[in-house]
Amino acid sequence: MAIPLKYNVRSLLVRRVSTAMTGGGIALVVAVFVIVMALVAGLNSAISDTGDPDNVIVLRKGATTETYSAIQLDQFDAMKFLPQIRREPGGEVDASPELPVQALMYRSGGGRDNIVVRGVLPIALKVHPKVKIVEGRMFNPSVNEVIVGKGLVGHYENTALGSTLRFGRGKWKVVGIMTAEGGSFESEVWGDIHNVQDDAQRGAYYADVRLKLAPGADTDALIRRLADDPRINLQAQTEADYYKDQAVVANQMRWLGMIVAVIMAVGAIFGAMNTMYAAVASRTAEIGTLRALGFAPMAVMTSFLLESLVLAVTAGAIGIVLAMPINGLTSTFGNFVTFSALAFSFRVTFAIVIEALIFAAVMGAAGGWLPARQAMKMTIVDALRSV
Amino acid sequence: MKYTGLVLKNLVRSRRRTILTVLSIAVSLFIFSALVSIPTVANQILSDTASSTRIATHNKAGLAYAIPMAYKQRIETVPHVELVVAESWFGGVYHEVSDQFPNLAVDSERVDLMWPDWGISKEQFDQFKKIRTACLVGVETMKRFHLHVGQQIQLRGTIYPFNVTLNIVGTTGGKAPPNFLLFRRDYLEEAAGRPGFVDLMWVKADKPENVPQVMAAIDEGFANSSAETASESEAAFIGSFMDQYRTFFRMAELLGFIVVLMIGLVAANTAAMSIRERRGEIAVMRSIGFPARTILSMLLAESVLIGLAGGIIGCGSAYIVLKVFSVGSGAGPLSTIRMQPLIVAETLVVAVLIGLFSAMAPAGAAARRNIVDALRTVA
Repeated sequence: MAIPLKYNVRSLLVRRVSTAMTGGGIALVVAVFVIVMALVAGLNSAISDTGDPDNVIVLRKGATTETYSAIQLDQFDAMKFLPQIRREPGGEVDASPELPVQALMYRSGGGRDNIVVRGVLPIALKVHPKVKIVEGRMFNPSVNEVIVGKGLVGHYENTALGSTLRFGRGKWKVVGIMTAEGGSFESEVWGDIHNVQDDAQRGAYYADVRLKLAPGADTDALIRRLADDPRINLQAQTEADYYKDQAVVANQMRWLGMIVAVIMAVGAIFGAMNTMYAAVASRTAEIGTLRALGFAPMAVMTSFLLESLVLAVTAGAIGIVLAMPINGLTSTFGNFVTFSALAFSFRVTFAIVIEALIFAAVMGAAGGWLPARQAMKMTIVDALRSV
Repeated sequence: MKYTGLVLKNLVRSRRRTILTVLSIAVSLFIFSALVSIPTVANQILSDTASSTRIATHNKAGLAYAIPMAYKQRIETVPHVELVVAESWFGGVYHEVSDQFPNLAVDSERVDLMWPDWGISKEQFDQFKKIRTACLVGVETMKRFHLHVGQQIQLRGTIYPFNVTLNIVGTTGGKAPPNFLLFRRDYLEEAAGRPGFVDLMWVKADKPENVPQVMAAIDEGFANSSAETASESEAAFIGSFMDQYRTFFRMAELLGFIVVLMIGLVAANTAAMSIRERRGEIAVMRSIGFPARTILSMLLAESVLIGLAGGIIGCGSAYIVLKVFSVGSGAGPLSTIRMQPLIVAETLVVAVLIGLFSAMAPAGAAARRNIVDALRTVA
């Protein structure tokens, strides 16, 4: 026979102040957990979601990121005719040569960041189908025009549609705003690759090439061919693999967040233990009565453990609500790999909410375990004597 | 002071509760002091360089844009300029891609004059100037890869399509960034086929007060050229790097603040519990003549001691952990976090305040409570 849960809820309400303070502690720990995990989820999706499952990125051998890569025109010409690459109905090859350079841009609130300016050809929109122009139009290659990622608009000066953006050595008219399903292209400015080459005084070479695989093409064969063909001699990997490696920032943040949350949880557990020990001590007579009424020792223990769990999970839910305003908040983060700013938005996902509740429950169980055991071990006679 | 014994006695009365509370405060202040140490990295570096006469001149468009080597001679003729050292970022990796640390090529002839505060001995400078493949390595990088002076190492090029083989002739210390590796730019220049461009010029002005004037003169000199320059004081230059991590810093501060709130709640709860249990006792003490103020200070002293004990344990272990963690973790700028004395002081103050405020309300109430009412509950 179990002790009704109502008993525990009412017990919690009787010592209102103490319950509120213990619960408040747990709620704050859960809030911290949610905030950090939302940041990690946001960064992760900004980086990993950039990749397209059908895309291969080609870099110079030894280069770790596209920033550190260079590809000559003859190498590009040689790879264009490989059979594994998809072709558009018009015959155009889905190979997008790209040249990302970092240019200083000024934040609306003061200060400046390195922003990736990616030189591309119009084919880039076909190779990166996630990139969509949501306002305005594509840039015209023959004049200094650019399209700007949505993540930059509002955060940086002169990024709105129609304004004149200054970076590098020139002035660029913003003719379009693009989205990329949350990917890192949303933190970039795209312009014509030849204009970008000129502006950065780079020679006539590209940094990397993105290839779209033909349906059913053998990815490994393509990667091997790109490496072994003496005219090409480049290193390739799928975009999924490439962006996974880029996500170090998110991983570091995840570790930091976990460590902070776990250590805080230890503090909160000690607090919960204090409260539950006090609860057990002040209700010794009640425990004796319950036992005398015939409730088993195990039922007493379960009851106190449940009380701790109810407190912790309720507090956890409050913590999630406290952290919720951060959902969707956008910010920029320094990317350790590319040395440029990455726009992202905090994302409180359903998985995070569930994890947070489990985390709270674990805190409640850990804090309630020992006091509940103490309650179970009381002998009826001793407990009743304290009345 | 004569009640010290009584305060201590009260502390050990419920040993388990005292230990749990101290530990709870300790772990929370551990994480608090570690978190608030993160943003101070930037401030520390900035204050180290605030009085520097060094100026960083780079392309106005950003560091990814090079400047012609020929600018060096022109900058040297600007009034109040003592010397110029050109620098290029090599960005090489040692063995694995994850083994990244800043490695740069600099003009060797005058490095000693540009960075006299980098703790490099005269012999090491002489070696650096003599041997074309020489490099100087920061202590942290030395430790991380278990390097020793005299060793030959190879850095794999990532930006440049070649590797460099370097001989370690000395270590940097003093105010040098502890993870930097410096090698000679003439070696890089030759290996790269003499492109004639560099990333950056370090300019040294004769006096700190001439720094703004020199910066303006340099940038004016290159205005409307094919590579316009932007000059910044060393502090501003490094600050702009640190600024990238501002979201991270704000976040650390926010979390630190939440941690303090959390311990505040936990400590207040414990204090309230332990004082509530002693209500009768406090009433007895008051009825035999202890003034309310004495009782209040005793209760507060007890709580402050708990807070302080937690603070010392937490902050002390954070200090040790950061020290151990800072060597060889390779966690980007995080690896250079050290706990500043100011943070230690701040954490201890927070600890005392937590002790004080958590007991304030319940202790005040207990000390002022009507004796008759309180005594009645004793029975």
